[in-house]
Amino acid sequence: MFSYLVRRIAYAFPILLGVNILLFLLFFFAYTPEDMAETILGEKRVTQEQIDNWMREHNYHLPRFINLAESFPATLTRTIFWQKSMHLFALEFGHSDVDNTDIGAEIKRRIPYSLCVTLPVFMASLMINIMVAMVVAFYRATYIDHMALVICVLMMSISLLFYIIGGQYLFAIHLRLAPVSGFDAQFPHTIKFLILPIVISLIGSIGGGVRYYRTIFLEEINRDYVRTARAKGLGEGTVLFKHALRNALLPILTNVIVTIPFLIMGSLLLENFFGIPGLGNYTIDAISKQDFAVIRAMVFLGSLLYIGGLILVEISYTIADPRIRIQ
Amino acid sequence: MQLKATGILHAALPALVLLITASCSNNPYRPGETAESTYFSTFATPPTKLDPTSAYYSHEGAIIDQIYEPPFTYHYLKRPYELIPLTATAIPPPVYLDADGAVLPETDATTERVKRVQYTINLRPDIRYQEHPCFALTPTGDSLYADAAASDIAPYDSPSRFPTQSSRPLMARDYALQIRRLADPRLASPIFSTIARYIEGMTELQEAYTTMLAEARDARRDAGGLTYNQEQDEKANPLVIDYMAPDFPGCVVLDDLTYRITLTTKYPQILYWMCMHFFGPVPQEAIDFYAIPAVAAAQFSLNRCPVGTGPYFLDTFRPNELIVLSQNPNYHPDFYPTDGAPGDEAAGLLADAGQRLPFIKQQVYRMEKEAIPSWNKFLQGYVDASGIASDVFDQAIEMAAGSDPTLSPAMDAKGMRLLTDIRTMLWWTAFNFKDDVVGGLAPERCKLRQAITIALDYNEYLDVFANGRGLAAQGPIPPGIYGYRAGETGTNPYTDTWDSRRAKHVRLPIEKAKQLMVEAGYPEGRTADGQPLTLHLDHAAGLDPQFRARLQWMQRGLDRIGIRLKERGTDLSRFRSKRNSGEWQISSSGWLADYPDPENFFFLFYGPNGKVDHGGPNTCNYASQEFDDLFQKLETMVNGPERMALIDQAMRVIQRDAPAVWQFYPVSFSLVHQWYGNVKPHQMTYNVMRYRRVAPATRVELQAAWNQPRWKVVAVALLVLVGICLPGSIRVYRRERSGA
Amino acid sequence: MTALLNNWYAKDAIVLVVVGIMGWIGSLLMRREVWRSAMRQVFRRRMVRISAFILALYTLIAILDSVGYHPPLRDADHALHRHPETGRVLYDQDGKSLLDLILTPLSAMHEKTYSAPLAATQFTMETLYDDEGNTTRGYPPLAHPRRHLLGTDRVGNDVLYLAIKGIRTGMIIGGFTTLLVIPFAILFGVTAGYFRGWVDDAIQYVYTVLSSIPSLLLIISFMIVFGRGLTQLCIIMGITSWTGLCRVLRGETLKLRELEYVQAAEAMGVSRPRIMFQHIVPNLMHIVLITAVLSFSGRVLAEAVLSYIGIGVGAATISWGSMINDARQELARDPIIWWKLVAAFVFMVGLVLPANLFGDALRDALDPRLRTE
Repeated sequence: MFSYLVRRIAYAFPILLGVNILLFLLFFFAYTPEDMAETILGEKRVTQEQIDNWMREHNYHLPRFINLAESFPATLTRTIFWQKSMHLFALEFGHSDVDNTDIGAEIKRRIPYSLCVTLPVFMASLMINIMVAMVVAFYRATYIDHMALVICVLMMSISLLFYIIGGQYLFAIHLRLAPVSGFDAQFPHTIKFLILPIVISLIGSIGGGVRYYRTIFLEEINRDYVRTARAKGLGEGTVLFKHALRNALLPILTNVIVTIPFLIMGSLLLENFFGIPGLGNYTIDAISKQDFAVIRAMVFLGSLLYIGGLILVEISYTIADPRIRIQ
Repeated sequence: MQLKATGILHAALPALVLLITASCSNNPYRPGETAESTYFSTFATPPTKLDPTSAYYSHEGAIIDQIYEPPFTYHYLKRPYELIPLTATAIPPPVYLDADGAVLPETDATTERVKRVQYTINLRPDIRYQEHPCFALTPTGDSLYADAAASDIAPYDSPSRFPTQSSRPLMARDYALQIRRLADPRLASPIFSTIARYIEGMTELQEAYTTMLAEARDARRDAGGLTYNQEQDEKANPLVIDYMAPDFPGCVVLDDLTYRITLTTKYPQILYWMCMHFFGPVPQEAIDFYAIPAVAAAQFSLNRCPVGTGPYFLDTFRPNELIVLSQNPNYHPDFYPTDGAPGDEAAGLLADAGQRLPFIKQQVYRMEKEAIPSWNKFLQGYVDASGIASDVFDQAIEMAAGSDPTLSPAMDAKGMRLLTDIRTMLWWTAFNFKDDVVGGLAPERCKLRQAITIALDYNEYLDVFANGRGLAAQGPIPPGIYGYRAGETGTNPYTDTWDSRRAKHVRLPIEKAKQLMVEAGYPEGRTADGQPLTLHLDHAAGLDPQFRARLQWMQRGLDRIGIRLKERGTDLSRFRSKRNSGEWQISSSGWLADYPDPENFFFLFYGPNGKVDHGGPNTCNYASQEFDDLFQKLETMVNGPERMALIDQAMRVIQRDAPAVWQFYPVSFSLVHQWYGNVKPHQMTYNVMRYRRVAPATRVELQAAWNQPRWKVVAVALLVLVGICLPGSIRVYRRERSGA
Repeated sequence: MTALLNNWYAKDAIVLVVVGIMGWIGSLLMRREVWRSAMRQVFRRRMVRISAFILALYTLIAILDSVGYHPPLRDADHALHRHPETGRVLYDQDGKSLLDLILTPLSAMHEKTYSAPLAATQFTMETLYDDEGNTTRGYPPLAHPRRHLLGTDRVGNDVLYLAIKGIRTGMIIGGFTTLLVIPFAILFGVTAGYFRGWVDDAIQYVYTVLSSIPSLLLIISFMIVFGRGLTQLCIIMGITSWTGLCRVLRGETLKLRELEYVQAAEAMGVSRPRIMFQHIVPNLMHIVLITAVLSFSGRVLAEAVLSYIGIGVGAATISWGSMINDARQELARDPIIWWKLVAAFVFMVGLVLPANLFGDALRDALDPRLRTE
């Protein structure tokens, strides 16, 4: 198990290196540091001298991959690639190109805000989706099931944007039940700011969720042990809620585990609409300010979390089902 | 185990529901927060630079103008804008020196003879800095925190929370230090290139700093070894240079309270520059304090945590969430003005005359990226003042025909007040003079540009996009700036006419534009080979949702004279490089006055300021000898009939050449709630919050009255839901019973 | 008239090529009995028949909007405009599409600014001047009263026209991207699964790298660097989405290559490319088809989000996403301007819902493992 983990993590390294090289090609060849300097210094009065200065301040004056002006190790280290990309591996995210703040510190500060929204949303939507899916599975092959399926597909076909715009209008402006937007990090005050984003993302996810979990339950229901339980004379509800649920939890869990690391990244749309200063908001800000140092850091973090999620899934498989052995 | 889990669930669920229900309210603040003498507002863009050297945008100025006090400022109430001393004892008169250093009398001070101009500024002795840890010194004069470990600093989220703080009186050397900092190449001050043309020795000072920096960096790099990362190192251990070391004749400290600025030429506008935060005081202690590694590691810097003498200090700065300014207890005696512009007394703006400032204890600004939530919070009473987005205009304002706008009855009933002010700002659509189709000074090119101007009717534009908020522009000088002519005399004779019935300028009839097109060589908008003339609008409106509509409006306007308009969009940086190389045709620009002088607008069209040839701010690359000569004459002249005549002349030239379509001068409308008083819009400085006051008791009362949750609707919706679910539940219950 | 006929062209060949290739693949598949019976089963349900009809209608509109022609230039008196010297009839350089021609009555109905659906007067008040010089405040009448089924937008365009023009954008983003993705996914997925070894490792490495980057962030970065536009959007959406299908196809190929008929073909010395494309690929087509239809709707929805962030299609392209983006401001008015948002909503759901229903039905018919009943 341990050596497997070591191997998995070692395998993550070339993948992250690939990610870095890809991003580097995208950002430093198609879009030169000079372009970037101009964008960032973009004020009413800007001169070439200021651009050169800015590039020197931010180490963008170095060669990209190989620095022939330096002796051996420095030929590689004193380059933009090393200074900007390889430092990410040490989780040194560097500083924002726009306002010079420490990206690592900023990420650390914002993670709790993002989790404040994504964690409750994740748990609530998991619970409610499963519950509704079970009810629908209970009524399978009846008109209720058909109706529910069509409603699910309909809800899936609506963009989250509509849910957000409509929800904000209805709850905050018309019913006056929740603040239009904003955030307060201190506990009891946080709740009123979270109600609206949570309800809206619940509504947004319920269509796809219910449909997915319904298929899982239907697969379980057709298995032998369920038939046996039914044959024993147990009620349909008992069969479904006790036996099928317990067995379906395994595929459900392994399916959702991969998404857990991403909770840290926050939700771009929700955070932006409701003014929650989490990582999603950070990313959107970085995009609108074209702050590539931050975008690079967020992409790297995202890849890292994705790979972490994959490893988690494999571990959870082995824990949940001892028959799967890891070579 | 399962029982226990469901047990917890049974207890927790109702508790959770109760908690959530209880906290249902649209009040975005904590209980009691609005009962204090606090001003609540919003901001849309996070400020990134609070260093007085590099801050330039208005959302940054809105904060630091209240913290850093330059020697002079503008009178709050009087219009046209009038300079008054702030930390200085008086506005100094210029002293003109000739080549030998002898003082020239005012009458002999011609541009040719004057070789030096000196301003000697005398400071008030009763001014002290805010309490700040940088002033906390050991008896030997070192910072108390010089050897602090990172863990000592970590608990504090702002320097204003540090346990030991102190203050000291304001001194002339603080101003001298800041003027020198404008030359620091690392800080990239946006005004450096402008003022370096006037202040003696500024360029040499920057060269000296560049050399000092390069030497210091080389030393560090050699010591740092192979893995040395300059960026990381300078963040952890800021590089400090001794600003006062090089010789700098441009600014000399005469004694503790006196300093002298020396210019190389006559430039009366320098006094306006000295009303800005660029010329505020910065204490050396602050620079040393922020260079302490532990402090730098905690992300504290002059860029985020300013140190000043103003009425407020920065209490909390979370630029993506919350900004709080609190009253500075050390603020010097300052009193509400006793006289104002005509009508101010009737408007109740002089009720507080002679009272000690400031009134408001705290200002709370919350991030609100979208206009809609911000506007709705204003309607709900949770924000004290709001600019009006054009879309909500009908809801707020009714324009009684031909008269001033007034509030709609619904708003009036809420006791809101409407404040209007024409902004000292200009929008224009620039033509590139380096372009072969629209550029150049040939008469037919001028006619083409005039025809385009007529085809774009900005009165209609204002109706469609701004609900009539603005004045269709006639030339580059907006109202409120010396040289602007209102009414019929201000008409641009080439494109407009004065409609006395509507009391505004209107475009000449479209037939005139068509005729101009014929004269320009494009009959019916067709080129020589018969195809329609196609022009390109270059833009970088990536994130602007309204751009598409504006583009369509322009296309429709130009279609009337047969011109096709196409868009060429790029991102901002590529747009800028297109502008630098002159590879564009038409684009839109705006300029907000830095100071109330026509030079600040005319210089945007001055030939030697051309973007492509000289890297200056004249993006049109308009270069007309006639205009340039006039500009040189009027640039440094004192306001008077002689200057007015030159301005009129220059205006006629630029109107004829039409290097741009003069779009409009925006009018700012702002709504304020009844509990927010002493409000008069000010275009030149943001240091006006000290005059304003709030009445918290009224605010609390009205907020409660306006925001009762509509539970009835929720109850009805729940009932309907239960009604739908009931038959299903009954069926399940029956089936379960029969099954079991 | 002949002048008119000479000036046809394919405005974007992409849509036509997409439709053509889909038709060709469809006809190839229909030769097989398995597919014929599956299709019969799919179309047995009325809901699916309706969905297919709506999808066909959208496709037809997108095709009409992709066949362009250069209309002849006309003078102010509507006479044909001729070259000043040669006297030839001149044509407009900006092409129009067949759909533009059909919708001319709609697109020509300009107003000054907003008007509500079927309203007779403008939505916003204005100062009105009568002949005697008196001024009043009121709602000016429209140029085309009660003719705008879905109202007009800020600059007076008919909203129904905008929504219909948005169809092509939506179809291109959904369809063209899918077509871009499928060959790559099949090629790489089948190659990796069939050859295994280092080929498999290399392909796996590439798609793990690509899929480990959060796709939204990659799309955004790409769009910032290469600028906004429909083509860029399709390309980057393709780059981010081929990995999912590729992974599935690789897995399926791994299973298929162990089956007897493949082993038999190998033993008979059939060449490897032949085995891949004759024996393996046809048996993967159902997966490809299901994924294609279901991911189609996902892309249409994604366009809206990207346009909201401001990095979708360019400013000159009409799309539902940009309509929603415009609507953000309009919703703050009182009375609110809802028709633009509603139009975008209805047209978007009108495309995505049938696509989802059709995809579901296909999956039920073609993938017995997932058949619900």
